[in-house]
Amino acid sequence: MTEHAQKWKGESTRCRRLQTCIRKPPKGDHQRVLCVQKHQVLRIKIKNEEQVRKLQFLETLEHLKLDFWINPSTFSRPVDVRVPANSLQAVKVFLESHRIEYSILIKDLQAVLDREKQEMVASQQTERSSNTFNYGIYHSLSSIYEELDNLASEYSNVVSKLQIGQSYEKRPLYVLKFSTGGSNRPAIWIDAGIHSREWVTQASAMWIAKKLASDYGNDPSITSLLDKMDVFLLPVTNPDGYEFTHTTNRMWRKTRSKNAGSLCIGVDPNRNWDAGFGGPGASSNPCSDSYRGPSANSEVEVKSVVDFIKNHGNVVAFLTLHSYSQLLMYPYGYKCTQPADYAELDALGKAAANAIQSLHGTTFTVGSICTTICEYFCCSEPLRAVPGQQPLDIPLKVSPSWEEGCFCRVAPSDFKFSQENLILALTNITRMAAELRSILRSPSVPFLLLFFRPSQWRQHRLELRLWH
Amino acid sequence: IFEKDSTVNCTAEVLYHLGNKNAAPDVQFTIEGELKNTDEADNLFYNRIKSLKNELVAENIPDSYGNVPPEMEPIRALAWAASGYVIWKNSNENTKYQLAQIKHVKQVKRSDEYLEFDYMILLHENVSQEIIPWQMTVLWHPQHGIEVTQNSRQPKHV
Repeated sequence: MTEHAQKWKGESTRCRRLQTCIRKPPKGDHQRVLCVQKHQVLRIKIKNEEQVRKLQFLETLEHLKLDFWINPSTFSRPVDVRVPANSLQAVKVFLESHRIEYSILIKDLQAVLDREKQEMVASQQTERSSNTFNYGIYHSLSSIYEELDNLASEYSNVVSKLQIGQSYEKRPLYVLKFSTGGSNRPAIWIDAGIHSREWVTQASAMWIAKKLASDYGNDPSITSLLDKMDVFLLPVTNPDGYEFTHTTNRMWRKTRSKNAGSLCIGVDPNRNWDAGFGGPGASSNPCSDSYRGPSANSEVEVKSVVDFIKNHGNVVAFLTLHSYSQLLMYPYGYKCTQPADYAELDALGKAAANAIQSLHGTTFTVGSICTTICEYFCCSEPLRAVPGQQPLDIPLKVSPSWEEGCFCRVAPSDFKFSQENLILALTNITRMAAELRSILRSPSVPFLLLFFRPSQWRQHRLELRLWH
Repeated sequence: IFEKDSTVNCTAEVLYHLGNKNAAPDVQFTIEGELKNTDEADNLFYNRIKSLKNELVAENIPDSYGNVPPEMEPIRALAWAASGYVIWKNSNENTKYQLAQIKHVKQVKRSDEYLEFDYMILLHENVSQEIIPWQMTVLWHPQHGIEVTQNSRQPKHV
C-alpha cells in the first residue's frame, strides 16, 4: 500500500444488508432474490386516528422487519403491509388486541411470485395464436408496430397514432397521442428505446400505452390526467437499433447511421442532443458506444423528436425510459440491481439538463433522486444525489394499485414544485411505472431523475430508468 | 452475500493506486459471520460434468430474453465468480464493470480432477457503456476452488 493510494471505504457491491435467499436458480447477473416464503401481506382497515397512531407505532418496531406498502397516515385508506413469517404472530396479536380489523391479502408471497413466474414463462413460450398482444414479453419491432395500430383503433376515443419522422434506415417513427380533446393542451412526452438494447423500456412503453388507453374512464387518476393533459408516447425511438438487436447483435445501443471516414456505425442518440454537445460522458470516437455524433441533432431520430416538441410548443414534461445496467434480464425474475453509478448519473444528468437547455434556452438546476424503490424483493438503498449539483432530495414513491397487493409499492410524496397539474402528471406517471412493473412482473425498479427549472413556468424532464 | 435464509454483512476497503494507474485496486474485506456451506450443490455439479460423455458447450447465457436454463446456472455462477477476478484486475476509479453475458463456453477435457472451461464473456462497462468481449480460462474444483488461469481482452467487432 503506497502513500499515494487513496482510500475508499464502502460496501462490497456483492454484499447486501438484506435478508436474501436463493429460492430458484438465479437468473441474470447480480441476482438477489428476497426470500419471502410464508411472508404474508395483510390489509389493515383503519377506522380512526387512534388506530393510525397504533400502526405508526408498529411501524417503528424495527425488529419486526415490517414492510409497509402504504404508510399508515390516514384512516380513509387501508394499509397494506408485508409481514415476514417470524413476525406474523406478534403482528396479528397486536392488531387483534387493539381491535384493528385486517384481512390476509396474500397468504404466502413466495408462492404467488412463483406462480406468476411460471405463468410468465409459459406465456412467453406460447406462440401467438390469437390476436392478443402479450404485454408481458418482449416483442419484435413489427409486432410492436402492429399493436400500435390495434391500440389506436381499439381506443380511438383516446388514442391516435402519428408519425413524427423516419429513422436512418427509413423506418417510421410512430408516436401514440393520448388526448381527450382540447386544443394543444399541455402535454407530457415519453420516449423509450432510445438505446435499442434496453428492451425493457420499449416493453414498458407498450404497457404504459395499454394502461393509459384502457384505464381512461376507469382509473380516476388516469382519467383526470387525460382530461387535463395530453400524452405523447414514442415506444421505439431507435427502431433501426431495435431491429438490429433482434437480428444481429443483442447488445447494440446506438443508431445505425454510417459515420464518414470510419468503419464503425452508429451514434449514441442520447449524446446527440443539442446542448452542451460534446460535453462529459460523450465520446468523439465513432467506434464508441457513447459516440456523440458529428454534430448535434445529426441523428434523424433525435432531430425528429426535437422538431416535434418544438413545434408542439406546449410540452411540459419529458420522460425518457432507460434501463440502467442490467441489459439482459429475465423479464419475470425478481431481483434488484445495484444502485446507480455516479459517473454515469452525473454524465446523464448533465446531458439531459443540457438537452432541456437546448430546447428552451434556460439553465437548470439539476437535482437527482436515486432510489431503488423498495419492494418486497428489494433492499433499501439510501437516497443519493448527483454530486456537484444542487441535490433535491425528494423521496419518490408511487402508490400501488388497489386490486392486487402483490407488487412493488412506491408512493408519491414531497414534491417540491408547485404546479399542480405537473404533480398530478408526475404522480401518475410514476404510479404507472410501478404498476407497470407488476403487470410485466418485471423486477425493474423505476428510478427517477428529476430536473428542475428554478424559474417560472416549469418544464421538467424526467428520466425514468428501469432497473432490473 | 447471497445466502439462503440468512444475511451476511460484508465491508470492504478499496484502495486505488494514484501513482500506478494500471495496478489493480487493493481490496481488503471482512465478512461478518459465515458463508453457507455449498458442498452438496458443488459436488452435484462436479459429478454431473465429470460424467458427461461429451464436453459441455453452450452459448448466450442468459439469452436475449434474460433466460438461463436451470442446468446452466452453475456455469453462469462460475463465470460470475471468475469475471469478478477479471474485473478486479482491470478496475480503476473510472470504471464499473459487470458481466453482461456468456457469449460462449466450452469445457476443456482434463486428465486431472479439475474442471476447465474456456469462456468468452461480454463485460459491460457502465461509464463508457461499452460492451467488451473477454476470454477467460477457468479452473474449478469443489474442494480446491476457482482459478482464472488465463484471460485476455478481445477486440470489439465493428
